[in-house]
Amino acid sequence: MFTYSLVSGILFGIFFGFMALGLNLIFGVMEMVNLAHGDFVVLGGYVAIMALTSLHINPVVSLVIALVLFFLVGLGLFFPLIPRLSNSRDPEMLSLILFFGLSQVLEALMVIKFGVNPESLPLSVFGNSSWHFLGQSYQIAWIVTALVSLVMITLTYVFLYYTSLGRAVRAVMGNREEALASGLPVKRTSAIIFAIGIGLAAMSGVLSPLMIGSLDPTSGLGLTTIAFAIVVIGSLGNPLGSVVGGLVYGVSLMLMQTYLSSWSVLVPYLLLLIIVLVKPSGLLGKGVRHA
Amino acid sequence: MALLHISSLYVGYNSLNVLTDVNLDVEAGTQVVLLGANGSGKTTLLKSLMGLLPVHAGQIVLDTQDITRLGPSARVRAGLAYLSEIGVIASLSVEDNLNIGGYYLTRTLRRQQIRSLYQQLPILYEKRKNPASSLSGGQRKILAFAKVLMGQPRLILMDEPSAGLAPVMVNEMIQILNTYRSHGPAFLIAEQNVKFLEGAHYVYVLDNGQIRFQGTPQDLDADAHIKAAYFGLT
Repeated sequence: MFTYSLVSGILFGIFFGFMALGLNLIFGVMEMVNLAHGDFVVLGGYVAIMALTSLHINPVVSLVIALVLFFLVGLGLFFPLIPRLSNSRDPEMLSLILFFGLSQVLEALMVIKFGVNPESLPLSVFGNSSWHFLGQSYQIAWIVTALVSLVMITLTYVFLYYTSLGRAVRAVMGNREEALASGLPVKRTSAIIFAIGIGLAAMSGVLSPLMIGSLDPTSGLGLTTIAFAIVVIGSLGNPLGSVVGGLVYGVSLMLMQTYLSSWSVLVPYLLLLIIVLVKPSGLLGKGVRHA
Repeated sequence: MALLHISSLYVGYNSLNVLTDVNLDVEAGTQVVLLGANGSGKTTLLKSLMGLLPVHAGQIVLDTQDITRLGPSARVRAGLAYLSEIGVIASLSVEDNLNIGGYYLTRTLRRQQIRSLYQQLPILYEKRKNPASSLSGGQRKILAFAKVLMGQPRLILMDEPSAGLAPVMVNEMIQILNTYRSHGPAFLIAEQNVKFLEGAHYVYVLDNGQIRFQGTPQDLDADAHIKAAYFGLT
């Protein structure tokens, strides 16, 4: 049982790390918590469900559709909202209100469009085979999800550390004022990261029904909470932190579900509490950020 | 025609003017010192030149281009560079900082520039993989200086290069600046340390947001009144 919990915890952890990545990128660059993050994940899930049930499009294709579509949605949201927000008196506080409002709006729209019943993707979308490892077998859908997540996390890492634009993103994350004073295109960098953050959220959403069972329009809030916990556990503003946070969350969740299943919903809050008490900067954090 | 021409500039926060009617010229290739005490408006002037603060009235012309309303990145592309008091991005490696300084160069040119800066400042080559936060105060200033040189600017705005430096390092900074005297970019150096006057071609004294004196360092030396009033020098 322990091996099973551990391995599935790692698979889940990689997925949740990917699910939280967009939230972390947006926070890192803009110091704004996207409270509508989970709703974009849910929207990505609906893209996959709709595509499969009405158009027979495989979720693998939906991954690309969701990424591109919500990258554009991100850009569309950025320009009318964010520059005005950044120039306001209290951007951090107002951003919480704005994104909370956005979350409510998205939730209401989803209820209108998709109804309140939970929807799901069949676990067999990637075939019925399973993966045998150390005497246990795991769903192929989980393996595919973990692999896709790993690839996307790696691509994000390569973008941040091996491209010129990625370097500019890290500069803005490190010190926005100084990046501006160095003449970096801070606004354009923020717009691109915002769009990538929303795009990645929706892309992870395509896989989310396979990992969390089913989605309904109200699932967003819970997902935002989990993503937020993961990001804080890892380290706010450090994209690698989401991976570490995701793994900690995934393994703890699976162990809890195995040994104390009725308590498992407490996992993100418990971890959040522990990390804030023990190491407020997060596991990979170098110092407490004053956002 | 001066490289940088500022005419009747008013800059401030909200409706309050910090700078009033500032007129200032920097000729190509010269080092101009902007002398002033804390709170005299030096940083405000440099920030407004860089596009980091909005201008209330007046005009800033670089070469023949009116840059008064341009954003910071457009000004960097026009040939300006700003060495702030912080000067580096601490979380990034030395080499990343240099790359940031040369953001608008082509990849080949950027590599060339980095190689030549490593030759001139070997300490940066030694520490190229280290985060800038691991450098000493003096090394950070050298990195910040190299970072602004990366973009091959025509005019470098320096905000208190002596701030937080030990006297030995201040002298080293002045020596480095002297190697760029008469060839290389023009400098507008905001300082309160009169040591920087040694290599200067021209001096402006800023007090309470207004230019109170302009002339060569020799003129300033001859003006007992200004010296006594603003620097306590006799």
